[in-house]
Amino acid sequence: MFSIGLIAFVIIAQLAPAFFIGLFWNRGSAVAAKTGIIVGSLVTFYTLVLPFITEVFVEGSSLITNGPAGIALLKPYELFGIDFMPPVTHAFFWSMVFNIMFYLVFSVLQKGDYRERNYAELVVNASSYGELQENAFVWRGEAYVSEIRKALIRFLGEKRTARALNLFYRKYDIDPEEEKADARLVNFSEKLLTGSIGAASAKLMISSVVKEQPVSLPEVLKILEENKETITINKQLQQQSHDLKRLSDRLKNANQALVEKDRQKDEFLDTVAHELKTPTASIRAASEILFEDDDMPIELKKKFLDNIVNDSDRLAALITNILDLEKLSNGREVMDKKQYSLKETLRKAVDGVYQLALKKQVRIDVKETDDINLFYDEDRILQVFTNLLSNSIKFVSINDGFIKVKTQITDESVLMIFEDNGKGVPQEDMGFIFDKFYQSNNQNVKKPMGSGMGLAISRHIIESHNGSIVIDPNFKEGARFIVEFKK
Amino acid sequence: MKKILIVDDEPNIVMSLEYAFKKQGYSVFIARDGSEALVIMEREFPDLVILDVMMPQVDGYETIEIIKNNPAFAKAKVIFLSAKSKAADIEKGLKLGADEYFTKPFSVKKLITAVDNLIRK
Repeated sequence: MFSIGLIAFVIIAQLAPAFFIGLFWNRGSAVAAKTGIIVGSLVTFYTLVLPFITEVFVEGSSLITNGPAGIALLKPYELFGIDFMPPVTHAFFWSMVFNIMFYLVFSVLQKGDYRERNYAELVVNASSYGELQENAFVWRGEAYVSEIRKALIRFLGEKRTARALNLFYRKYDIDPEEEKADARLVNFSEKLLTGSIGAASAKLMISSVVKEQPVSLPEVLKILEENKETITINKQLQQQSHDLKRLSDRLKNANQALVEKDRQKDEFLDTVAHELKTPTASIRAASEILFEDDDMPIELKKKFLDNIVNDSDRLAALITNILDLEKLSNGREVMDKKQYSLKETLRKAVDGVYQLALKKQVRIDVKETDDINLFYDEDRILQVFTNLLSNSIKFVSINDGFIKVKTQITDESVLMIFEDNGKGVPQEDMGFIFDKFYQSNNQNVKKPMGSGMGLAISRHIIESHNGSIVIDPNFKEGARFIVEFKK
Repeated sequence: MKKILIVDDEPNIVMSLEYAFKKQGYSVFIARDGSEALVIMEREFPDLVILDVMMPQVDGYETIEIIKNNPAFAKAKVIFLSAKSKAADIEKGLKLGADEYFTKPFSVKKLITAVDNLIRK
């Protein structure tokens, strides 16, 4: 039992050299330590375990007395002729000798990689850890200045690289002609690159130009982490750019709508100007002639003056209508709604156009129905009815003109139907008659007189009463307008 | 007597022009739109046409094109008299072969001078 304990001690003792020397000697390498331990163990086995086992089984073995194959120098208990020590001490002595020898020789012969040496340095000189971090590249092997410079130029550009290197050389007082890069340059370059491509990538970049540099798993993981972060940021950026694009699309649409509105406004002003110019031209021409011509017959003079009065009225009506329409379409006009009799309002409208109808011998037939009271602005509704009636009078032929007005009352609404036997509205104009100035919309062709705004104004008024006004496209005998009021 | 054809659908303006040019000693004919104007031209071969642009049926631009493409009307001068006053409108009128372009409202006196310059000499 005692012997087995001693044998175990000697075997365990093989770990000691690598451990204790490694603590104080930074050149000790892993391979050398392993070799030393294995060799020491083998020696222990040969000088202690093997003879011990042989003795148990074979009494007076020749291996112990004569050595293997009779070689006296290799006798397990008296290796190399040393016979004055008891077996355990003898085994301990030789195993330690071989162990330490292999450890030292291998450590000196074979350098560990930079990482191993860095760790060794960390253990041996733990007190100067901070400094070590700074100079971590001391053991990273060899690098050429030209290669590091190339790497820098790739990411920083020619100018910045040159400037940075000059500063570096001046700071550390290094000969710029030096071919081999020292640790400080490597470290400095890595820091420089970190600004451009991130710390882990910079390390990778520099390791690629510094020779024999394996990249460890933690480093790879760090790079992956950095990349993950970059990807996350990229995703955020993508999302943001997506949002921006959507916003800019919306702005574009809004802008387009504004441009269209602007164009419509321009067109409107253009048309207004045009509409105002014709009566103005007429008034100017007549006035000029009256002014120049003193010997004009009085009858003719009166005719010219009459023209001027009519054109002035036309001009005034036009201006009123324009302002009216603008007010209505901007929603600035407040309807003065009260309860009125629809029948009464219609009667007022018919009375209003009576003279006009009489002049053209137009018959107006209002179909008798039950009266109904509704909430509306009477002046405005009267304006609509008058407009519809006078339009009809305008477009029917003299003498056989005929206008029919019907009222239909349903559960939800009241329909007012205005029919005439005039020339009707051309199919292609149906969609535009409620637009302002629709008359002149058809380019250079002018339609029969009128401001071209009556129906547009009417539509605005009716819509302000939550009603609707439409033209019946299927009515072929003339024009049929249908005004609908909600009850 | 030199002949002038006035083509316009505004009766009041036509009345003023008719009076003014008759007083100047011209023979004046009236048309309310392009198609009427062409009928009168075939019959009267006027020396000068005062042409509105915006008219029912055949407009002023179409009318001048027909006039300029018919060698029978080669001597006829054309003056546009229109409310269309944008530079592009004026350019278009002159490109189509008009000798003058007057915008409404206009000076009757200046119009008479222009007509005199074009056909009295």
